[in-house]
Amino acid sequence: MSLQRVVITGMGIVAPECTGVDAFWQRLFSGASAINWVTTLNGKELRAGRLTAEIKAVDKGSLAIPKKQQRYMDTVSQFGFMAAREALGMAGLLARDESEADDIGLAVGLFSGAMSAGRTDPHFNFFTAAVTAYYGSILGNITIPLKLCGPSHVFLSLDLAGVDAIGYAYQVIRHGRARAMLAGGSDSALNGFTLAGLDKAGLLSRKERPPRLGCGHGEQRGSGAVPGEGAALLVLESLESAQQRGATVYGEVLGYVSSADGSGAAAIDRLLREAQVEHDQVDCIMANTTGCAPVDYQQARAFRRVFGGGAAGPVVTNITWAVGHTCGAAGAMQAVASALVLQEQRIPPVVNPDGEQEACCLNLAPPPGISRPVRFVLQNTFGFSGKASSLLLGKPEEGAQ
Amino acid sequence: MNRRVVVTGIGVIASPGAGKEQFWAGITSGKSFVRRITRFDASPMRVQIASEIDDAILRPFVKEGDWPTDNRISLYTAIAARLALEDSRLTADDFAPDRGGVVLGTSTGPTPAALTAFYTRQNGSNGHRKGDGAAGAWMHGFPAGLVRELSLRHGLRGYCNVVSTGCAAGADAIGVASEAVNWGLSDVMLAVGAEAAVEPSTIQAFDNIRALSHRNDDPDHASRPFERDRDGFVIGEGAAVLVLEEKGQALLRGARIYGEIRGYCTTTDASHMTAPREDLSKATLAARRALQLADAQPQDVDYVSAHATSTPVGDRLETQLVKNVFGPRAYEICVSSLKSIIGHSSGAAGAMQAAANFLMLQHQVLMPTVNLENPDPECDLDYVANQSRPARLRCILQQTFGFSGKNSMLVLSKA
Repeated sequence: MSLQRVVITGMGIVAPECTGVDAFWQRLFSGASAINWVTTLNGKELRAGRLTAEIKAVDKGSLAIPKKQQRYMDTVSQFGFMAAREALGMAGLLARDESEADDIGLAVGLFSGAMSAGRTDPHFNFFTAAVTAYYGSILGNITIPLKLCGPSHVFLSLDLAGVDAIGYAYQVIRHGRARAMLAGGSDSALNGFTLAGLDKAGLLSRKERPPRLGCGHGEQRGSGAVPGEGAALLVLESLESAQQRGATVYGEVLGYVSSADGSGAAAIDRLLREAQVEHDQVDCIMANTTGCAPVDYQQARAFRRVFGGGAAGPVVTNITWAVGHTCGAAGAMQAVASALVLQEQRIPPVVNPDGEQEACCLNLAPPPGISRPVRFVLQNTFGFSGKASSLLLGKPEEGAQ
Repeated sequence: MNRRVVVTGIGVIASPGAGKEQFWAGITSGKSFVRRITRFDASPMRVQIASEIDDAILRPFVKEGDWPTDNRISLYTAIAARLALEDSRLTADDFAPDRGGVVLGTSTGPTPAALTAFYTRQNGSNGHRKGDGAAGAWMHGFPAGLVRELSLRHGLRGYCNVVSTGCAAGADAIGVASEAVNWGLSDVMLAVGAEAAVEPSTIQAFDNIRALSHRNDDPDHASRPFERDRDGFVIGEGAAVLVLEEKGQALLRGARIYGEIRGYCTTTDASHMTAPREDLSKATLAARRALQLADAQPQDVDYVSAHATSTPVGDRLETQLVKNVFGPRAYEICVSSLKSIIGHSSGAAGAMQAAANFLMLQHQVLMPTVNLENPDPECDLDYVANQSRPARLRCILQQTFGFSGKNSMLVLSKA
């Protein structure tokens, strides 16, 4: 079977202070960050940093799903379900023939998921733990109400889970194992176990004011991640199927690479080589700087090694300053932003880079963002554990053959 | 471009012992390895039986200072992976580090144990100073940490991932790992299924939803798939690891090949969080697609490796599924259940099944379903009752299911 081309035909997102793709996109250009003092938890779990990016309580009534299913849904499943419904709606796949369900699957990435987020929830029902409080429960919570019967997986590669899920879905469609996949991540770091753990592991920001997250930054004392929450899911579909249905194509997925080799540079090179895209054709890098110094430095080094430093390189941007570090959902939120960059031909800014333009020697997008032609976006997600995953996305009509 | 995936190493740790020889001897012995729980005091619980791994099995693999451990799953994966790699005789020269990877399948991984350890340390209970060592407990709480350990220890720096699809995770890990080789992401993969499920919170959770057997007074006969009076499954535990390689490379280095992973397909029922779909349509679809990918006809299949956990509904529907997929040939095919022997090890179960299947292909002997004296009238296939049996085995369909309506199918054959 010949390899299929894979395109993005729908997106859905639930992020701090912005629910829905339009709200998210506007938010990125407004320059306003959702990072603030913690309110949902009393903050006693946090030794130093008390900054988070929270989603105000989900209105369960707005979920419009049967009560029977709702009782199995922890916060992470709710986020995931909302993003999934928006994405399928945008793709025009919500109301479809029953028979089509067999060819639509789900790949979702988690960091905490129902295991820790759910079990430490004060409303957690221990009686149904076997049904609700294992990582895989999100799978039923999305596939049952939305009727998806294709290949479905839950991936747990920490803060890379969202992008790894998209990478897997890309492969599945490319090799003809499904016509469409809902892919992305859903997560919440805002539970006692995950927060206290991240804090004790020294990964959280200890700053006393909302931090200014940029790229490659981190020499200042007290830098670290600001935990966030939310979900983002994309509809990946074979180009053939999208054309048959006359669906709007937002971007094309041209490649995925994941590697635990430490630097990330070799993996990016391999990704570009395999997609037959030249280095100077990459117009934009969607980075995932977390605010953690070692990870951000490693990432900036990898970009400089691959593309060279300074103003001549691709425009580098990120979304962490706006929504915090959303862990398992981070890579998927990045992917939504990347697809929108291609669709809108606008690059959102890095807000308040705090003098790190010089520090990281990269071409950061200044506020209020840049309008320019963008053919290819390289999305990079670097994990705390030294593993890195990257996606290459292109404007649909300019995809590699 | 047509890359084929073969299995060149098997490592298992389960209640019968450590290593494929002990495992094989155990699963063909005709007896069940279920007994009353000894690891903790189960007397206040309604379920007091499980298929445990004895500490004596683990001790030879653990350094003096590292015992006792509250992170058993990490031990299981480390031991099974080491045994599998030794069995494969793979060396670092045989592949480039970024062309080797690990995919782990687990339902809960180390998280329940870590949650307990974290909170006892955080709150200063159980003799710990308040907050002491809590960060360390947290760091060990993520399944991805197990993959990272294996990746570093064995120089597998390429495609690594964790699949967590409940009780289907072990089969899905093998599926995803074989896809990684098949699709060219990797040349060598460790496919791992692991679960340390014999602990109070997991047993209590499954008992709450009435999934477990209460045959506390007769543990030997508690796990009885396809039997008339079966009353639920018995928790098991352990890890199984398969070394997967691209076939051409394996032949080139003269590896011993157990067999081939020919096809993998998974579907979801999209109907209920726990109960399988009565019409079996999505499970049937998964089986047909897996056979199609394997380029196999129903008449090529000699044996079905059943999920069969010993629950009243599950075993009946699985029997019906074999009939749906194979038609009249269902009565000529042999079917048996590993869970009758070593219980249901949740996220490890699918990998254990696969390990048993490749050993069966090697030995050309069928593993029995034990405790099968009076079959349920609705379960009327040849379940290889109680005694292992020599047979001509070429092609196997492995069926593994999980909560959330997961149906995962693997087609395995001689290379």
